[in-house]
Amino acid sequence: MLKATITVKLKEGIDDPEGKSIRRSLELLGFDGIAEVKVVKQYVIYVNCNPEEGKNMAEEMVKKLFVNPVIHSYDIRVEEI
Amino acid sequence: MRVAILQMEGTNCEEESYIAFKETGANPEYLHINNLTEGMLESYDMIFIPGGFSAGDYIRAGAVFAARLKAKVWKDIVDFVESGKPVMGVCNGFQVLIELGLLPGTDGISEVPQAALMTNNSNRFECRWVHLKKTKDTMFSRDAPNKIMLPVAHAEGKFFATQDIIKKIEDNGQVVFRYISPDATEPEYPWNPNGSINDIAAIVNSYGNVFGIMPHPERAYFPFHHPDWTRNPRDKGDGYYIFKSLFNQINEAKSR
Repeated sequence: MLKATITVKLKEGIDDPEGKSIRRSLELLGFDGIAEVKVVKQYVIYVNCNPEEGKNMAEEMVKKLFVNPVIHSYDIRVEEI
Repeated sequence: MRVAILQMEGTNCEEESYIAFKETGANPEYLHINNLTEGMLESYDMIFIPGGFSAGDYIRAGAVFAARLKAKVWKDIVDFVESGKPVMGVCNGFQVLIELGLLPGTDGISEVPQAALMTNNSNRFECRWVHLKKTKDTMFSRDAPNKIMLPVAHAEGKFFATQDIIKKIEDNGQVVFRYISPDATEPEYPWNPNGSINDIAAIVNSYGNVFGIMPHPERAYFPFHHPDWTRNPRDKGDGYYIFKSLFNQINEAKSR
């Protein structure tokens, strides 16, 4: 079995309103000194195939669905489990 | 004028849109993506992608709808757009057109998205009436007054693109409606409800036949849709003029 972990985040310099409002909530809970909060999305996909196929499949998924290249950067990690 | 109103799991503005087209004199038809097959779209005069929460807005608003259209009938959509027939997306439909790469379409159809409709600056679902200024006459706007009011209802409507693309959009004159404040000055929040760059609310592709708009014209079709309808009598709702523009344009093109 293969485990593909796809992490999608906003590119550097792109506003993250969700992160900002989470930071505000944390400050209201009394956490001091927070410089920034960023929200990332992670998709964990389990699939029966070899690592190379898995990697290609994850790349295709990213291209077709998970990422809008205008605002997102991503990272793919594939491991056998 | 046959209009294909595309549906999928989670679209929810198709009925209002259907009524708007019907009242204007067109022949709208629902077309569910599961029933869509190759060669089907060709026989229609227009494609309309309604608002809603297709696929529950998971991953990104409009991303799943766009990916499924691309997988199923991408060539037909490209042919449709290149034939010059109108394609319009409202709200979630606008997000789909952006994800498909049909908009902004500064240099024709793009393989990958050229822009994004991102999470609103407020990080909230913004649902209220907004003021809009018409900045271009297109087949979707030519019969509309210069200032109109329409309702917005979205969480991801902030128009974003790189500076290069924004410059191209502006140089090409592709912005059709911009958010304005009630006194027609530059809008701060909440009059620009999402933080869109250059207050962009609606754009058209460079050829002029693909149109995306965040506010909902179908929700302001009848005079009594407007919140001040008892105090401020109108012949038609402000959204009516978008449908009327299209109807006139298509009929004129057909009779030529």
